[in-house]
Amino acid sequence: MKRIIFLIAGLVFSISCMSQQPNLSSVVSIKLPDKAEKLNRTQSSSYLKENFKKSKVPLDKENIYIKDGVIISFWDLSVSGDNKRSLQNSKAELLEVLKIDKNLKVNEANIITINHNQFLVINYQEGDEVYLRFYSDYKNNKNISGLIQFKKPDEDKAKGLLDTLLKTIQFKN
Amino acid sequence: MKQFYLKPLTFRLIIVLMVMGLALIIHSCKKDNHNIQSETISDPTVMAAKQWYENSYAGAKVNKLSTQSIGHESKDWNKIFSPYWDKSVAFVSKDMTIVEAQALKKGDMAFSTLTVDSNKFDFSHSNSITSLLIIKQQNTFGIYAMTIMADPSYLKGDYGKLKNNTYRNRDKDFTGAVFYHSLDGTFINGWQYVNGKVTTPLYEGNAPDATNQLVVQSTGNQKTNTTGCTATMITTFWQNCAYYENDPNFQHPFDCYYYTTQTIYNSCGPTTPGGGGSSAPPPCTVPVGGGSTVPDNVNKVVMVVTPDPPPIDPGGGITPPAPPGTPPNPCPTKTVVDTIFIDPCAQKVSVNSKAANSTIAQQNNQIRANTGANEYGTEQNLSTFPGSTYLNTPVRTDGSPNTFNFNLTWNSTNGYTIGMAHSHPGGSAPSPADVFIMIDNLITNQQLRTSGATAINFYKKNVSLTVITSISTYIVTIKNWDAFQASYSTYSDNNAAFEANYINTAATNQSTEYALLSIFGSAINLYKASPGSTNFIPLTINNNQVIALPCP
Repeated sequence: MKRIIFLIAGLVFSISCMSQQPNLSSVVSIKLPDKAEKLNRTQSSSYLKENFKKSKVPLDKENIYIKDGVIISFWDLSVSGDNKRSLQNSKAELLEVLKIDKNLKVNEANIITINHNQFLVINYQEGDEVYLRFYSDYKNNKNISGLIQFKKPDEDKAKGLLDTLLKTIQFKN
Repeated sequence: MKQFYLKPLTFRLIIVLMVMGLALIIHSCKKDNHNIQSETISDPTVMAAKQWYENSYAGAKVNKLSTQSIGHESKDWNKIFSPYWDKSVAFVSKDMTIVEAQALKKGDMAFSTLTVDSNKFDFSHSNSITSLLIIKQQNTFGIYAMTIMADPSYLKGDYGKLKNNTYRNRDKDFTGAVFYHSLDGTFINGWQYVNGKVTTPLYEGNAPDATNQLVVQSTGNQKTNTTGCTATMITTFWQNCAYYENDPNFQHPFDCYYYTTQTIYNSCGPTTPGGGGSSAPPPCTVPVGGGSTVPDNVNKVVMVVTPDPPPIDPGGGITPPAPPGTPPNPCPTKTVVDTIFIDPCAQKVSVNSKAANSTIAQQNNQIRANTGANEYGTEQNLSTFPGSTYLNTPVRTDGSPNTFNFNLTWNSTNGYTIGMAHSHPGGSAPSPADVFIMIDNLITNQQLRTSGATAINFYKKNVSLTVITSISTYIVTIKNWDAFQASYSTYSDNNAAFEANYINTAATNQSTEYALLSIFGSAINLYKASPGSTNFIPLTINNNQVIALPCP
């Protein structure tokens, strides 16, 4: 009997391991929203060209996904200690630089706390295409940043996906 | 009924195998995170060559958009080839230091005698290979693209044999040709080889007395005239692709297109081996006293001379054939180009000195004191030219949070504007539009423009742009005016796209400093100091991070 239990436990563990999400970030553990599909560079490029007038998604990044017409991308960042800025300073800096392009309209910029992690979230749009950028605070001079791009009618859906994503983020030790 | 009880040893074996299996599965579940590694060069000779190259060819690195590609049908080899420093070797031959580097190619290029459609050419079965030679002689650098084109009789279908042939080493049975080009695509010289021996020099275009000669032999794309010159039509196949910014080794091309160019090369003279060792002979030598030098002083004006063709290591000490003496002389005409390179570490002294000037410091403090909702600024005007006394121009605002208009002058009444300072209430680094004020002034300020070469050179060497924020002070100077002007040209063509790229780079990397340095490359020097400090530190990008440039 013990052997059977042991075998079943091993099998369950193996299956759970095989179904786990790959290591998406070296800075944080992060879980993708259910049924988010990974896009490779060609797929990302094609989809964005066909569905958006402009794209700010960095196609060189590994983590680009789509769910229900919403593009989700994120990547690790690192900073030298001398050049580290607080999220408040980053917010002011990025809002200032976004003002350079008169076609961009900043809808909101907030610093929020989720699971003891602070994030700067900036929502801006160009025409009917909206961008949600997020930046976590630093831990050991590293952080995670991302961009969610979508059409204006998908805004609620996109905000929900961002919320889901940020709730899964835990810094690695 | 037979019971299947496992023996203890078998059971333990199964346990061990299961644990190993689980470990394997867990390990395989983990995905590698491949980060781009920055180049680490330890050889000081290669480092010096790299420094010279980056100063001389900075234009090739600026103006990167979200993707990078070369222009259609570019013949500027500099935009296609760059040295692969990680795959370079340095050695000394005669009195020259030579760095031979594999060529990093934006796309591909191959020489061939084939005349197939450009989009049908198979670059993986090319019979040519191009590498770059950076040669230093008496503190004079030059760079050449060396293209080795093998004859099918030598390759015998084994395209891997091409890599046996480098500047220093050549297969004893190598038959083919070696071409040298400068990075603007100009043919320098070339040599034919038969069984590892140099036979004849190559000339581009018409050979001596080759015009309207009776063709006595015509096979394929080769024609031999009565003077013994053999003309060969070489087709250059080009592959032009786009690459992503973080693909520094151009390994993932996309949106490729293809085209060809054709050139006639003539080989004249006897085709019997005339000597030579493992390599071709030197037709000329690197000029003494000319050429560009590694910048080592503040505001050093460097004369860039197109050096003579690269000498070839004669190898085994066999006397090379005499250089060709009949026209057209393969030695290029020297051309002199004035340019200015300013080393950021060397310039740091003058940047700090200017910031410490009592008038400038007072202006900067006043601007910082007004760092609120709107931008404040002023001009840094010398009272005399040349001189070091600044006029106390008033600090003011246009009442705007994101614009400030300068009043730039170049006269004895209002002063000689040699710098511009203003605030960024949000704390961002200088924007492209800020930086381009320095060249705008040079183009649009009639008084400056007509003030003569001395004044313009003084302006180019000393102009600076200061941006003051509540947490930092930034100063930008121009490191390389050629590269800066190239960047300005791109900006002028489409400033919306240029600025959109800057904004997106800043937002993606959470840093306007990063965006500025990334977009302008080595065209500018960017310094930063704490508020009120006059200890400005040059910044650079290393491993995708903005860091303080270590200065000696």
